[in-house]
Amino acid sequence: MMKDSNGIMTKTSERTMLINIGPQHPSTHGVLRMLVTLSGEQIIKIEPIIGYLHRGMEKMAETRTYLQYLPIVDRIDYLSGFFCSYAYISAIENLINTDIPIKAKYIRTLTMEMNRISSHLLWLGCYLLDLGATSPLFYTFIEREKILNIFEDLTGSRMMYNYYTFGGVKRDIDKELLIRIKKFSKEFLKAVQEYEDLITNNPIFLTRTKNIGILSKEDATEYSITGANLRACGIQKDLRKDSPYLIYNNLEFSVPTGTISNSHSRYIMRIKEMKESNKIINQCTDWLLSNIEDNEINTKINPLTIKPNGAALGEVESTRGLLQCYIEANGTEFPNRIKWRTPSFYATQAINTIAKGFMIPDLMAIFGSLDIIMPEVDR
Amino acid sequence: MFKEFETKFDILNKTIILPNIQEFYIKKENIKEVLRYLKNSPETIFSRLDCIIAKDNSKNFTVSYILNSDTYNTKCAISYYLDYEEAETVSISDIYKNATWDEREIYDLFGIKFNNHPNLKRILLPDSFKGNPLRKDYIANDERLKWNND
Amino acid sequence: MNIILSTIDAISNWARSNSLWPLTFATSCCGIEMMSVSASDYDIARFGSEVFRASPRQADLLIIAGTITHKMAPLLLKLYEQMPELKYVIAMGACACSGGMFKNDSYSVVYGADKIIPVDIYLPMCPPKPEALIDAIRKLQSEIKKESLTTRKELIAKHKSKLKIQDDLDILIQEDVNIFKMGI
Repeated sequence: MMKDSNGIMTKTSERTMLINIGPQHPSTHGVLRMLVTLSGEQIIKIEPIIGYLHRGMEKMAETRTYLQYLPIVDRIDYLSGFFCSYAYISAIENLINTDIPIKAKYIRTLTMEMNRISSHLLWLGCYLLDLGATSPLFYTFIEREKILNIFEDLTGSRMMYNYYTFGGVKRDIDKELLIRIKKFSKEFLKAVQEYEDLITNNPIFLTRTKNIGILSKEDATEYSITGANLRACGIQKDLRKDSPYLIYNNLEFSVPTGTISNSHSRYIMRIKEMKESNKIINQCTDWLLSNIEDNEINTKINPLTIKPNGAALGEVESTRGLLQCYIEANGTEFPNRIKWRTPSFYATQAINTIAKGFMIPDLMAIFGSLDIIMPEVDR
Repeated sequence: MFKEFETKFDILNKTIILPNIQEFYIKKENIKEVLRYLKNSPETIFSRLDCIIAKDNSKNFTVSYILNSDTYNTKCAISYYLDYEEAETVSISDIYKNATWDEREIYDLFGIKFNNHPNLKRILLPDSFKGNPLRKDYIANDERLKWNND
Repeated sequence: MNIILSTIDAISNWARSNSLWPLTFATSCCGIEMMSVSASDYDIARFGSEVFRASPRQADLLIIAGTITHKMAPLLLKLYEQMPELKYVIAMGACACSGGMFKNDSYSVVYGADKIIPVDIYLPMCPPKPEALIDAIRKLQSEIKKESLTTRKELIAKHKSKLKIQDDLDILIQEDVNIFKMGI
């Protein structure tokens, strides 16, 4: 018999312990704080505390014009800057009712799929670093540096691109860069084969991730989880196939689904998604190489004359799920309200349901496989 | 798709969110019945709640719920108005589970209270922060802001 | 006497500057560039930072990579106070130098990490390229080589006088303890 914190006598087996996994931690993917209630080593309850990176991006939109807000949009999810840019720009293009030329659509698709690959490569290296394996980080960063060098020659920056604009893209893509992309795509297939040989059938990896962190279909719909976490359950839902935007109608690719969603199957989903993105990149570069003389990449719009009226919703299938941007305009050059619906916010909310009942060393294996990033949660 | 829904409840206004989302304005008291009907009725199975949006129009607040249907692959929006003085409404966390954190964020940034919420407290800002920043009449008067001087 | 001290100075400064071990403190986008510096293409282990330590008791360089908000500021101060002497601080990125692009409008961002703790090297750009971070660490190493054993106490006292939010710290720590108690 022992005394607990309120001075009441309880049996030793009923005592629980409260641990703080603080904001500064090498594997919480940013600044997230978790209060974990344990009984022995088993998790009873997790309460996440967020807000350590809240920078006030939604309030900043009310004192800036539409063009002045555009560089800030990349920082909502810094690993997939092209997707956030596209969600904001497609909402505005709906409001002012313009078309974009077809070469700009192909360039946008090509850059977004390459961004998807680079984000998944970083996720793979960091997930295995959380589990204790330090080598795959160095392998995956080699391929990621090749992609970032291509982006630097195209847009001028490695991470915050600011490349899309109202009505198209800012600069044209030339022939040498397209040949470099084709060469990268051939080397990438061999690299993915190397990662699979190294990781997928490793017995330590299998014991640490199979049957851990199971997400059922009802929970996934109740908590509105989207992306690879949902497709691993067996529900086939992908915005690129349900309501296609840009030129996904003309491309041949498939969307992988699984049967049961645990940490291991979420890992397999993302490896398959990388291979499908590789196919899309090949098809886009073939089209662009055969239409190299086409010079129209931008319908010229004067940004000082953008004063729309009404409400619009721009959405995109991002690397982590469904990303939406809601804009309400009132006829002046400043928007009235901009709201971001980000997928990581809802995945963090569901972590209490997913991780209940497992041991504390499994917590990082579950948390890492959900692919959560903190500036999306806090904005 | 919304024929039975429009005959059953009284709708004050209808607008469109571009590109093709229908928005219905209703009265504040009917919100729970409307959402339960839309979730369970076989002509519109809105099984997931995408997000909750709150806006400040300088005269009153607007709260909108964006719903998404897996089977029919469509979206719709349900909205109502709230006055400045009595900014109180009811929580829908027993119908859709992911509404808890959205409602906490709206309480934090706008000051709107939700009754019957399991855990209503600030989520993004520190607990002792003064003021609700996203209101149009917000004046910055918290003590922490004096660290930014000089 | 001075000949002996200056030789000991030279040896001790050489040993300390060529083995700076950083702490993993990354809040935002600049953290990804810090990870790229430690990975294969731009390798920082050849300059002496062999490992990134997770605990502040075992590190002697704090690279502030990312935006500091009002909720995170007292925790940054606590981390700085837990590190053993002598310690150095690099403010990486525009947000840590001066508030960055959030300077005019934001209601919850601290405009620069030097409002909270003393900073030795400022590194602008948004985000800085990995080569720029290596350049900053080399500059810090050349600054360390100019130090001397006789001025060590004054250096520590000068850093302590610059800690700014000590008065508010008690209220903030009490708030922290209250969050913890509610979980029980």
